[in-house]
Amino acid sequence: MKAHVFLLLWLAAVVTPGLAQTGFTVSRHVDTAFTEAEFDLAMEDVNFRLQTVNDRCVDLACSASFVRSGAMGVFGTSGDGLDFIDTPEELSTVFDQDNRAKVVTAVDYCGGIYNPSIIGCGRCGADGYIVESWSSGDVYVHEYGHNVNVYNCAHATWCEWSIMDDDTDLTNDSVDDYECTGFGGSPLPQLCGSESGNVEGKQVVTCDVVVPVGGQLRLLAGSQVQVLSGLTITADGTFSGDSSGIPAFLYSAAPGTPKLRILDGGYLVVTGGGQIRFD
Amino acid sequence: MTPSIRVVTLIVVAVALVAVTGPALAETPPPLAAAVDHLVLRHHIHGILYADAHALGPEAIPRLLEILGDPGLEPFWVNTVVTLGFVESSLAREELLSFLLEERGEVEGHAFRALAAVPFALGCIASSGDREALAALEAMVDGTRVYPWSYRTTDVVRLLAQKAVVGLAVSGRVDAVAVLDRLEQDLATGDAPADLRPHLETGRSLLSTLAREGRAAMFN
Repeated sequence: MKAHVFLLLWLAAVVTPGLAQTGFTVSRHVDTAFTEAEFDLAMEDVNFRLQTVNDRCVDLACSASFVRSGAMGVFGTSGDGLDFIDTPEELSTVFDQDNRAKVVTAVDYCGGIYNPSIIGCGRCGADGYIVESWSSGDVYVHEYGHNVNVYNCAHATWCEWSIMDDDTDLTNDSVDDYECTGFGGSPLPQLCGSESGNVEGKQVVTCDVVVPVGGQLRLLAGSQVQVLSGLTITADGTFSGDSSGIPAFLYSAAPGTPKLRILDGGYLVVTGGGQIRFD
Repeated sequence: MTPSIRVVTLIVVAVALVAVTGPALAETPPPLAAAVDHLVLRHHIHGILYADAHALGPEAIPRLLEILGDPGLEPFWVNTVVTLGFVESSLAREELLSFLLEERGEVEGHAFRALAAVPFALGCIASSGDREALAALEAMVDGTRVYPWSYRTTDVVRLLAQKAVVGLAVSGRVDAVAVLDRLEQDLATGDAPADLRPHLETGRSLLSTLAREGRAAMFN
């Protein structure tokens, strides 16, 4: 029991500084269909992509994390045309609205250029970006990157899946050190595991988390552990112990000390006399 | 656009391509189709590059029209319409006009953005000297046509009139500038809807960019 309590306190103590959270204040145009839930989902998606290592480019796990700050605002009046930005005046008016992120139906004009295939527009080195309502989380963070002058407000050219690349398939997820720190994060060092070779065409790094017979590994609501590339258990997932190893990617913001990485302020409980063992 | 009409128009475009450019161009050649897909089936955060799209050439039109006819690729329709414009070939004009008139009912957001991009694409096509594209834009500015589709609370006729003003500007044609000059006079006398003024000013600004830096600088 003492060990159990100690584990909880120890984890709580080390998990808190793990993520570098930035709050985005958000507004939508009154004529644009968009909800707080859609925004939150987009942030959840991009946070996962930032904090995990992908196999598409050289990538690092980054502690940057983005959340909605406060309730979503609403700007404009119905029929004022500000939901469809196609003049310099409209662009300027929308940029001047409260809150950093402005969500509209369409952006055809940005920074002196006219192009209906534009999907986002961010000020360079200043607060304020505009995205189309269907955009993905990586587009929000891309535009935020312009706000904070990542790559001096230019685009990344090192990887087509980079957050700061000028193209996206809506799942861009690669960051280098410059992007990560620009987004307010820092690289999460890998604490265990090594390249274990090619599995189904993907290079993977694995550690073994062993849940002994009779033990349970339980993730409480709101917590998140990356178990396999692309698979995340986000709420109340329970593994019944059978002594089989669970491959896991483990990172921590505190280099040098092996710790599980628990996201979103969650914590991890081992019940039934179980233990977590690193091989 | 209904599948049957789409097939007929694809055939018409294919025949036209054969007549204009030779039998080998009736379909988009596979390597070019791959290049089209690579360009169009991704999202370009700050807009599709004019140079990349223009370089595809008219041979890419059949594949672009296939994408525009595929409801499963609706998120990429706006890229497709813009690319059809950037190719700057009259062969796409009628298909784009049909697209505007054959969508029906309340459209989804991606379709809406693509439909709203048609005047821009027509303006690009008009840059090659296509007088019918210019005439279509002039008719849109007049704002008398009713469209069989809608999007939420948007006044589609006014929106397309505004977009057509910019379309005239991006054509860069002398006769289009004359239309814009007349529009400016009509705005001064109150004979044209005031909502067109900001779009006229935007068009003038784009024309300045065109004169100063060339076509690509207006778009990227």
